[in-house]
Amino acid sequence: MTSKGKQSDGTARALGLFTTTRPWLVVLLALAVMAAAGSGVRFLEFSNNYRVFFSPENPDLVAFDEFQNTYTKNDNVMFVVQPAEGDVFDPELLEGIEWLTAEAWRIPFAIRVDSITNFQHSWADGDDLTVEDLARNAASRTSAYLAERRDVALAEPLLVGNLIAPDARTTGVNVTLQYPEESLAEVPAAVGHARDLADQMRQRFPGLRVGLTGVSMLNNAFAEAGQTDATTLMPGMFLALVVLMTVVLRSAAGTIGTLLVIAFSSLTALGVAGYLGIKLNPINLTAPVIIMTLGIADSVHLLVSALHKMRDGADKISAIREALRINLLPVAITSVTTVIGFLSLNFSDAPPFRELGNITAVGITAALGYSVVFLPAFLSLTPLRAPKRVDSGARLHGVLMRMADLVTTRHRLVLAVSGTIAIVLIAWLPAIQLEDQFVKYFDHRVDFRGDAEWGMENLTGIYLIEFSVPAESAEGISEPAYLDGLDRFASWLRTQPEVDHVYSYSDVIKRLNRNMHGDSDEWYALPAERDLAAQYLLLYELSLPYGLDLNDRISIDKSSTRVTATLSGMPTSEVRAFLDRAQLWLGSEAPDYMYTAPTGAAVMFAYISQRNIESMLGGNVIAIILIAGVMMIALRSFAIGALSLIPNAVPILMTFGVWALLVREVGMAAATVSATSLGIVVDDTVHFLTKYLRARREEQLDRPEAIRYAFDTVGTALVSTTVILAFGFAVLAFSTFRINAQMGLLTTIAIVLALAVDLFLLPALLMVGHRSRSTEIDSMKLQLGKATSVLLAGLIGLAAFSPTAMAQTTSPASYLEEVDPVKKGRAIAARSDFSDRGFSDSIVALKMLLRNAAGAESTRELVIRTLEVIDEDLGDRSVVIFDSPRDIEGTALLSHAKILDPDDQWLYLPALKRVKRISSVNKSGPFVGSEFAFEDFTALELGKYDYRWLREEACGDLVCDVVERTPRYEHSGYSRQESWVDQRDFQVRRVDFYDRRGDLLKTLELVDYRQYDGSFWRPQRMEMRNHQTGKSTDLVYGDYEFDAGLGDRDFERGALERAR
Amino acid sequence: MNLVLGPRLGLRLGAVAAFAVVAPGAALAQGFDVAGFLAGEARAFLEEPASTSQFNGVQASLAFQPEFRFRTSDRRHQFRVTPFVRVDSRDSERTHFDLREAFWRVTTGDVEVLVGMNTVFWGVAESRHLVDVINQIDFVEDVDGEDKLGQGMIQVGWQRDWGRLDGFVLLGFRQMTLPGADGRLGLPLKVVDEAYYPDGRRDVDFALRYSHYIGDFDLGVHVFRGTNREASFRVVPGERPDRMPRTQAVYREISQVGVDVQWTQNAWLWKFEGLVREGDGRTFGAAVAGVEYTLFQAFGSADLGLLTEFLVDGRDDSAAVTLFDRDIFVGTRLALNDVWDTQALAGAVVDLRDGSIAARLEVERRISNRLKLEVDGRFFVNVASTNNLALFRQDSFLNLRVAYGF
Repeated sequence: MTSKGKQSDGTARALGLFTTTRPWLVVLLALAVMAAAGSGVRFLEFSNNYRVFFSPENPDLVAFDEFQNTYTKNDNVMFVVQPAEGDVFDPELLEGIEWLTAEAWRIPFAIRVDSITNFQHSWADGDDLTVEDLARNAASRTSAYLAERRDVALAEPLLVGNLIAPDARTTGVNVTLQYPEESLAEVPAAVGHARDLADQMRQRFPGLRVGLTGVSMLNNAFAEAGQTDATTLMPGMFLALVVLMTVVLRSAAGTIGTLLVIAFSSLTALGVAGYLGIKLNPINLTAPVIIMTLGIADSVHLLVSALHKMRDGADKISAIREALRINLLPVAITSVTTVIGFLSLNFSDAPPFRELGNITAVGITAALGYSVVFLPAFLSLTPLRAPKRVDSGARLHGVLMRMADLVTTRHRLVLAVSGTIAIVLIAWLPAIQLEDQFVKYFDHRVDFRGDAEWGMENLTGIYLIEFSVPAESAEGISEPAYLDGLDRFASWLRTQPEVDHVYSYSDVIKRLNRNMHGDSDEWYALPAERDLAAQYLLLYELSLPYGLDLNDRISIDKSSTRVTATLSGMPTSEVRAFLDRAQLWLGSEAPDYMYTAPTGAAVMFAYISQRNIESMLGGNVIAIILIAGVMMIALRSFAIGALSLIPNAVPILMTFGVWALLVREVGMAAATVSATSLGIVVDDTVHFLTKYLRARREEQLDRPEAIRYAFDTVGTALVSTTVILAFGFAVLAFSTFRINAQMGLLTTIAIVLALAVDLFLLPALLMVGHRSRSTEIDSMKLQLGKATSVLLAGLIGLAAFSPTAMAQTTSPASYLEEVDPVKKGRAIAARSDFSDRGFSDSIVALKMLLRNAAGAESTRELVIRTLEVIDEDLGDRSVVIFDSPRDIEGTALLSHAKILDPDDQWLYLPALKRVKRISSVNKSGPFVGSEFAFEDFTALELGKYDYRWLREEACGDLVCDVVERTPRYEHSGYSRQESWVDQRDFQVRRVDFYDRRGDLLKTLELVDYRQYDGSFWRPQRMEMRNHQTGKSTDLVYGDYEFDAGLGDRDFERGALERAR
Repeated sequence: MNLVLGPRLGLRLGAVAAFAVVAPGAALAQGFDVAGFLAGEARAFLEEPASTSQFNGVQASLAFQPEFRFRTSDRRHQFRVTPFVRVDSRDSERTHFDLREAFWRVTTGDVEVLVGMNTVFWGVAESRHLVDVINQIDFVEDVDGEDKLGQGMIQVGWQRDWGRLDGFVLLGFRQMTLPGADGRLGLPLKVVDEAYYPDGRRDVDFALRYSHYIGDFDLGVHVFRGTNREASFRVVPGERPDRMPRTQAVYREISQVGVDVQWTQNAWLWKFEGLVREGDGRTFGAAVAGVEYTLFQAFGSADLGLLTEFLVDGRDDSAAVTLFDRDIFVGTRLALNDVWDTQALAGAVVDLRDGSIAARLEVERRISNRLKLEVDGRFFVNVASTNNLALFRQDSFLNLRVAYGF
């Protein structure tokens, strides 16, 4: 303790001496650093895409990207138009819509415009199919024409609830945009043009209401919300801080110095962000506000001490030096813990939060530097005067000392009351509901919110749920079974209360069928034959004008179509419930091959909070442990460090309890608040405990005395910094962006609760077991036990949040009639792979017979347990456990297979009971001395190879396809393999392995296939012959046990010890 | 503990013995199962002993470790009893018995509870098992710290997607085993049976460990509070004034936090273990950091591993004895990957202050499905008299071991 203390004192003294004797040099140096770092600000730009909220690995984003690659990748702007009175089938207004439809084509990056006027109305004209615009030159038409077109529009399922409201009061013009994504100016350019058109419409038709909604408007709103915040929040914040500082410090020089420190720190952090190429968004833009708030604390601690000393009669320079000496260590510790808290945001799945964490971490580090280097130098150059003692401070001090008396004399009562309050609040935590309707991310100051909600009320929702429904094969969308499934799915969706509109290709084909039968309504049904449906589609596509084709609805090879369900605003929990129901319907009511998972921006946001909470949990655990570690080292006490976990973790848990009681709904800010507030609430604890321990160790005071000492010395400072911080974060509540507002409010609550916990619960806990000096150690242990149990309770609470991820599957595309050998090869491999799906888990014992060239034999016995992982981007999990030779009995190898990345592998050595992560580079080495390489067992995943169909040939009694497969993963020992897959059961019968030189190395024969449970084929014997060495290895399998009840937890590294 | 568990366990075992007759060899699925080894060893010391009371020449011994396992068919309950016994020809202290394992484990979903004696390993490094703090070392077995005494415990493990938490209540402190005054690799003075506990003897210790892997990183963090497993020694008077003074082990109460991290990057394994310990002298930190690189198929199918680790330890002289204050370890491992699993390992820990070297050479090979042969040599070279290793400077030896597995 003392040696460390002296060491930091030495540093602090040297720093004080240097900064006050060479102030000009220091100020210039600080300015130079600030200028160099801050000049990065010029690289900053506003991002305008909602996708920034998702990491590239986010499975929901990956699925959506894949979807957009199949159809078209595009965004939209929707004009929602409503006349002052009457419906939209007014000749003048309809002509206006025609004009808007034509003009909308000129919006930059527009690739398609849909409206009720250019809707492709098809009708029969004898044997011909006529396809024309639903309304053209409306102004010169008769009222009979308009009435007829009105009826058509209101009977058309593709229009009603989408481009026309059922009461015909409101209509929409939907502009599809495809951005080249080369510059950030693209979205504002398109939005600007659209707003221009809306204004022209309003001028032309007084009283007409035109709203703008759609994904591009959403994206634009993200950028605009950020800019609004930057121009309103930050000046507001700065102003609030000036006022607060003046009140607290009552020193002009001190206030100016502090403001310079926080301005420099923010600028430095933003500059570094600019150099790093970080794009600004509403979330990471709150970093300056947070940096200013936190940076102030460092300066205030220094200034308060310096002014205190001056009041006691010290001269300015020595007061500054002494202030630096006392404060350097605590200020450094609080900065480090805060930085840890913010850096743990890197565990978040959403990149804006990671950036927020990193920018803030840089800013806090800079604030520490500027506070201890620049500020002393600056102060020594300015006329700093100590203000007169003020009464309010004394009154506060008096209140605090009465509180100190209370907690030391009645500590059991205080503990019982504050502990009960904490537990009751924490118990409310599970009542929190996650809510992420992206329209509601913005408050009413943002136009988008009003327009989008008005549009949803009057016309249609903005939350699109997309399904890419696969057919059994290419051109398969014309199959009657497929169309029937599609039609039933669309009908089912329409019966769902949440759904505003459903766009399904089955409606197009029904309409065509009716057209081809003289527009007779009884033919409004699906065509009975495949050829008929295909011909209708061809005919229809031929008559469509440019820009209105079906490419955004049907995949190019006609193997899947897109079903879009439009939902109105509703709680995210209901969206998730709807998604589950839709998947359940597809899984149970439609043909197997039609199964698909929903996607779209609405789906992504429906899971964003859960994913972020899941990803942040690990981060929180690590941050809490690291901070406890820092506290233990800094405070030089294990027990007190462990005890500090309570005042650090409890306020955050209580905050969510308060929120659950008062508000209930919280968005993705919930995931990150614990990380941001942790670092801050720790500061109070550090200051309190440092003073407490100083009193115990240096002054030899007993506990009540030491607690009183802590109240006396840091009580006022704690209260005033809490006030400043609470104000700073409360400013965020005025953000136009709801996530920021929630984060600001939650953090404010956390900070205030942390103060309460530090002033009541913490001292009461410190008093627990206080009898006399000799029993200190016992009570320390008691406290440790309490700390541990509270920590565990907290973790259990957090874990209760963690949701179970939704399983996703995709069904195989079948290209078996393909002539392209690459597609055919892959299709054969896929069919073989799929024939094996669904076994869930298996256990099998096998015997390995190793034979050398001379015929000498030796054996191994092992058991392989496998857990099927449905996700195609991941491989299965397996554990291989050895039974003989006896010296390696119990040795187990756990493998989490990946597709292209190296697998994760752990080896369990029973003699040491040690689990060791091992390198999986060694895929091609001999496995336990056999002729099998490890990759021969495990590299069975479809995605691990590129395929090419070679030929068809007889294999035994069967006919086999010979497919060449080339490993795509790194570190394979093979240049290529040839596999024989039979055409009856689709099983691999033989594999030839070619070494890296391209020579035939080994041949594997898979024989004695047996079918389990009527579905899974497994070879009961595998024979591997090495052609180059003459050695061979046979695997003889026992009975497989499928569905043996193994789960994820049996395939964790921690489970290896109980594998036997 | 045994009073509670004994009758129930016996009942279960009885029921199971009958089952075993019906389904022999259902080793891994469920039921009752026995495995283990019987090993004969001959240890030849290469130099005269440092003390006249110590024996000279060859030391023969026999070790036997059967393992009795039972698991219910739903795999939820698991019982395991692993006694260990060694009979030594020269050193009476090395003739000893221990229960390496005797536990009952229940697994339900994410939670696992273990009650009884068990052995637990933590850590990633090869030259020193710094963070491996749960079990006491069975020092008479070997000086490398890899043989450990069973520890009574209640362990609760909780596995979630964000990692695993293990809480331990450790019951009954066990002293380190030490060779007798006549044995080699021991202390020069007779050791008093009763150890000295300056902070009072406590038989309940606590530990909490969090472990997880994130991508290529395997991470462990632990907190331990209880009696130090490592001992310091003090000299106490002989039983009578005219007798030789004796030595007594001293165990203190400590608190420690530690981390172990391994980064697995292709053929490179980067390892770090570190801890901070309070209560044993001045609060100090210690760390092992190193790297293991494997040349796969370096010669034909043989793999060659290269290892190096740095060891630092900041403890003061009043703390428990350690051999690693500022050392470097270099080593190599050759695995032939043949049918007989032939392996060789060579390594040396060099003290960076005085150049003292503890070297090791080990060759092992299976000779049949059940028999295994091991030759193991330890060499203490260039040992400075001020180094703690000086105790063993004359104790370099070669060990031949034949083990029969059943």
